[in-house]
Amino acid sequence: MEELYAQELEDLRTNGVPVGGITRPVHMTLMGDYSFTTTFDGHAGATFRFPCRYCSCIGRLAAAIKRLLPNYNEYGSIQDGSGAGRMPRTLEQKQAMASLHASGPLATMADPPVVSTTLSFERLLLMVFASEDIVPIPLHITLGVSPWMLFLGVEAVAFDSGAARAQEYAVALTPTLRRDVGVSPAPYWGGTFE
Amino acid sequence: MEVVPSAAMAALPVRLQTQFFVANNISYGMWQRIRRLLGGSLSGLATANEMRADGLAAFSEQHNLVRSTPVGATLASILAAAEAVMADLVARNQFIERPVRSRPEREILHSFGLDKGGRQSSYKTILACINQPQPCSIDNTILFGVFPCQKDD
Repeated sequence: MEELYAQELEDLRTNGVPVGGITRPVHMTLMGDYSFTTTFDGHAGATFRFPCRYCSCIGRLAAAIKRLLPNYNEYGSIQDGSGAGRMPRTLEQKQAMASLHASGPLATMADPPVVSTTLSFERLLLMVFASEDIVPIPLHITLGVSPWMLFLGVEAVAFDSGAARAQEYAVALTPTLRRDVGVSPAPYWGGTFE
Repeated sequence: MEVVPSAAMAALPVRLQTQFFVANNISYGMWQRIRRLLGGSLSGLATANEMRADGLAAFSEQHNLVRSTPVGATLASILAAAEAVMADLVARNQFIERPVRSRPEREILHSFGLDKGGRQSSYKTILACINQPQPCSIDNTILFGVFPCQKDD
């Protein structure tokens, strides 16, 4: 059903809207529940390997993947969340990206690329929305930020004092979370994950 | 007995009465009863026939025109609806500039989304113009599509 109006919304975004006799550009954001936004984005959904469309809490971008993304340093990726807005994407860039999705090499590949390359984005996008233009669902905001901040802390220690010190820091973080913060261990492959 | 001063209601354009009628989901029968209660022709309210004729005229305007498809109903032209909202905001002096950091100036902000719910489950697609007070209020959004769900869950 999204196909019914996606083209018209794209026209609205492309052609702008008249205000007081002057046509002005339109900046559009996408909002809705998880199922809807994944459908619109071409993402495979919650049960796939990279369920998080907004950030890198679950699946982090490897250096090899970053090399595949055009202009990654300027624009980031959809998994960068708010960090993707280093430079706002222009409408022309979004249109070029949509064209790449429609007629790029992905459609003609004999074997589909591995999931670590596609990050579970497996279908054609109906409209291209930069990640900073997608309104995150509230539960994601409350649940998703915590692990990201912990990762960031470990990265900061690794950057400052090296990998060995970062590992010590990460190990020490576990009992702190368990005893002082009250985080419960989660079942993981027959054991517990702390 | 007339209990409401009719002068104010007589000044209400029929189109405004139609909008009130549609927004509150009032039937023509109920409208007639309300009109009789308020004094009939002395009330200043339009008759059901006038309302029906005005409603047909309003619904055939480009920005209100609805097309029906096998999967649901959508506005015939979302662009025309968006333009009508902008013209209305400007006419009512309710248009607000909302500059966004790192975005080009004078951009009009629109938010496009979908919500599922209702007594019979259906998807409602909406377009909200942010350049106005209370942009997320239901009355201030454009409902441009309704799609019944195949499963009621």
